[in-house]
Amino acid sequence: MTQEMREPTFLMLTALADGPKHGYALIEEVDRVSDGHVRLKVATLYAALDRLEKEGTIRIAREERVQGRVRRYVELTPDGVGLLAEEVARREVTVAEARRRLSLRPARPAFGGAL
Amino acid sequence: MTTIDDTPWRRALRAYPLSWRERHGEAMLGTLLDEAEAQGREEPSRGERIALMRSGLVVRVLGWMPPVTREALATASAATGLALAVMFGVFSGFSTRMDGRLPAEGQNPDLQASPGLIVAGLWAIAFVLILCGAARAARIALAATATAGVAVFIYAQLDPLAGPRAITTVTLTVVALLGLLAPVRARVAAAVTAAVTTGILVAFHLFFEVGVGEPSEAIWLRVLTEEFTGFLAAALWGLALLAAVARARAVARRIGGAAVIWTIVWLIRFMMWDLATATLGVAAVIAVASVGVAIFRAGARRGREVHPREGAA
Repeated sequence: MTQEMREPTFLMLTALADGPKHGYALIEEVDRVSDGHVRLKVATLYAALDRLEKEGTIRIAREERVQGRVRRYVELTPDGVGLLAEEVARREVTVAEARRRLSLRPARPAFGGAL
Repeated sequence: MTTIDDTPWRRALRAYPLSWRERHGEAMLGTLLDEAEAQGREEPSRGERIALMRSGLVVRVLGWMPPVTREALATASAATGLALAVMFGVFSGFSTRMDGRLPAEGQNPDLQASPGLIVAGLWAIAFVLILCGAARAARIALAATATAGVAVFIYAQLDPLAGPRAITTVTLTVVALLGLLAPVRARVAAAVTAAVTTGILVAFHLFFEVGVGEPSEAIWLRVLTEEFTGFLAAALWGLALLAAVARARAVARRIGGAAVIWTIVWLIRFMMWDLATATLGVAAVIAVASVGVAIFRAGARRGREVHPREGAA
């Protein structure tokens, strides 16, 4: 993929990295992984799942009916695993570079030292 | 797990087309009910209803178009729109307004700013936001561009002397609306397309000796003629076809997106000067597009029937 991966997509793929999850579990997991910063709406989640499925990044693992409610579990495809690994590597390079540059900054002078 | 009456959610899901509900409806309903139960709700929240309605509408209007196609079109629109806005801003943003009702000595010989500069300026802001990676802010700027385009169009109808010509505002508005099809994230592709398009248009403006300060119709009468826009659209279709044959799918999609936008610009050029011919042309394009969409949808439906979804109930 030559384009940047959007943050919600990255969070969804991260949430699926350790195994299949159903819709609500995925919403909760994204919320947890993002430290409460991203709470997906159900409409957004299914629009993203539909797109990712068409792109071959995820697939339906199974469906269960629990007390009348359908629970559809989705999982990463091998392509999806590769894509996530690629994105993680890309982000790691950026983070390492950001850390390196921050460490080059001169130490902040002590209170009153700038006078 | 408690029992919640799912009727209000089923009603809200009717915003989606039947084909979507067949594929995702029951799974979505299950998730909506799981969330409602966890939050202690017995009916959809206001935000949930709005999100479902909005998402359903998007699927109904644009669902037949694959996201990659939508994104390619939005990218091409953003780049082409910027090039057209720059052309307008540079060559016709400031011009002398000759009022035919006044004698020669009553004319104001000074260059005056056109209200169309507001639209061109918003286009530039939208494009800068795209290049900065602020896709959401860029969409807001594009929506503002389209709104300003409509406002300037109305203003120019009330005071034709203030300009610009309707074709300029109509084109910039239509292209801005197409830019809203999807968030533009392919920044490099957008920048390259904008640079190439602007370069070609500047070269032709110089070749046809369109000077700075000319009225807005000069662009359309001397550069963006029916022949030129038609040739450009045809050339882009040819290039897209070649790229597709060479299996360079991403390139074919990008060039194809630009071809669609220039076909639309050509149609607008056609329509604004010759309404009768253009109406026939638009009818023919709609007929061909409808047949294409019908074939595409029939193929997709057949595909679903032949390959039933794994695990579907």
